[in-house]
Amino acid sequence: MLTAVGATLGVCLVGLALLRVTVAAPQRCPALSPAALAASASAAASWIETAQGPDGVYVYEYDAEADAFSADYNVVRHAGVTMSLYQAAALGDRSLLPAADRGMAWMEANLIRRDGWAALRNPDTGRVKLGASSLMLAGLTQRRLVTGDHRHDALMRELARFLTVMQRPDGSMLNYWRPSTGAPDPSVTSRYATGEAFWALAQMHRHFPGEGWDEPVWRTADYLALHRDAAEGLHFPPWPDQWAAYGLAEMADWPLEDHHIEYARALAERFGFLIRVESQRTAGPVNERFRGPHTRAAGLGTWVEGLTSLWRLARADERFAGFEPKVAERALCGAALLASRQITDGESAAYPRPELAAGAWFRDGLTRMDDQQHALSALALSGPILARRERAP
Amino acid sequence: MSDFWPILLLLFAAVNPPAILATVTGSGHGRLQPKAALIAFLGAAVLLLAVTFAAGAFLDALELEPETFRISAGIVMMTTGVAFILFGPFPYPVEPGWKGALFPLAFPLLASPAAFSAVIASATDRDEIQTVAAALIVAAAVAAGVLALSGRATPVPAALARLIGAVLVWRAVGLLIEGIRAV
Repeated sequence: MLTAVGATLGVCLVGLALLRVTVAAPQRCPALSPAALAASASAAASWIETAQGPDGVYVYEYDAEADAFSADYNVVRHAGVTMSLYQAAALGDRSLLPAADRGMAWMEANLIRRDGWAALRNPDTGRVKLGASSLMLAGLTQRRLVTGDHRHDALMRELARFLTVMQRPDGSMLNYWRPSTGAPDPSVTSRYATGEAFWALAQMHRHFPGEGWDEPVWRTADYLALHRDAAEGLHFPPWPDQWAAYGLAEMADWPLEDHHIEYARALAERFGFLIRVESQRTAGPVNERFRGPHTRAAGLGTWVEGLTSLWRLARADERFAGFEPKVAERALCGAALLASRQITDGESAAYPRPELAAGAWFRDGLTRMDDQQHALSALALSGPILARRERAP
Repeated sequence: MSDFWPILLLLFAAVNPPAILATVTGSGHGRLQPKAALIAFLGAAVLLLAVTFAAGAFLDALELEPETFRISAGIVMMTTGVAFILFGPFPYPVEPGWKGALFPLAFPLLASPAAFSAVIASATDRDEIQTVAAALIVAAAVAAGVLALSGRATPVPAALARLIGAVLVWRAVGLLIEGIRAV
């Protein structure tokens, strides 16, 4: 009998050990104080400021191991980084406005205008990609919020009109406008472009109510909630689209219809799962073999951005209110993971260019500007959640 | 009360009563004695209740959220269910008397790894009291059932064990999906 007991216990222990190193690895969310969160966001913003040249262009990618810069540039990411600076400014750090305005000035110098609309074009290739204009417009909406300055209102309307030019009747968005044909390319969509335009147009309705910007937004909201994953062949729906979450939060007081709330629920579940999985990654040799490496900050940041948006929706819509505690918990866990993985001032001294290491997130020795963009947005947007939690009795 | 029946079904499938009946009958010691059935029930009840009440502390010690534990529980249950489907009841030797009642009857047949997983998942996700009630009912019903029906050699329990193994796989998949889809 003892042999059978021993064999049974042995099988159980082996099974437990296997579970422990795979799906049941410990979930660790570091402690995060409001001061540490603010310092982390500030360091990320400082990296962006440091990485910006006088012409407003940012360092696109820096390889710390080779001490080399990438020759690539990405206009959509330029617009995204600039937008994140305005976002952080809107959340309290107005010192970021000059850098954001330099980034915006570069975009204003690279516009293409047709038929009453304007779009941001890549000055090197001439390509006109929807996401660049969407995020430029999103940046301007954030700028208008923080400054109250109306000088870009006409440009905002021009950009928004371009977004509607790129919209198909079902609410989906086309990714490119072709200068050669003078029309949108009907064959190319993008998993990012629709959500980016959705959010930007939803903000237009906030700034310019009564101008009809809500009409295209409703169509895109329906497309995202009901059709996008199947129509665009995105497996394991819903695709974790933080831009869609931003847009849903923006529409919270319109208010949303039930199927949009159902979509928000599915997004919350997906972002929450991704954060739980990430919190089990330690990057240790055994853990990494079974659970993979740390997700880069550009990815982790988007999940936190999505959760912070859904937290705002949960605070505004009773149908979604039950998700608020868990969404807040996951958002703060993601923010804490980001802060804990950021290169500190002390750690930066070991890098060839400490000024381009401090405040950054590296993976495989590389950091790209959107690592800092999404992390900055995520950290800044987590501030109100943490503040509310700190105030709770 | 709405949570009670799913918990009861989950525990029933995790314990798999026909498999226990087939194991006891297959051990060749005839019918289970009332005293052994009582000891098996008490032993399993103590283990399952201890695990139920310690479930929260257990997950805290493991640094696991209940939502994430559902995935692990689903894997344990699915593995057990697939084993039942493929191999039928586990062929443990069951000694007559209290020793056999404790091992393998109380553990690991009644208080099985799948049952432990089920009570931890239910206690942390749903309701501790309802989990306790379901665990006691299933353990008592199985002990009584085995007491009443053991000793009669028939292929029915083994066939039913495979069927309930399939039910366990179905519930395990549900738990896995719940774990993945939770915030």
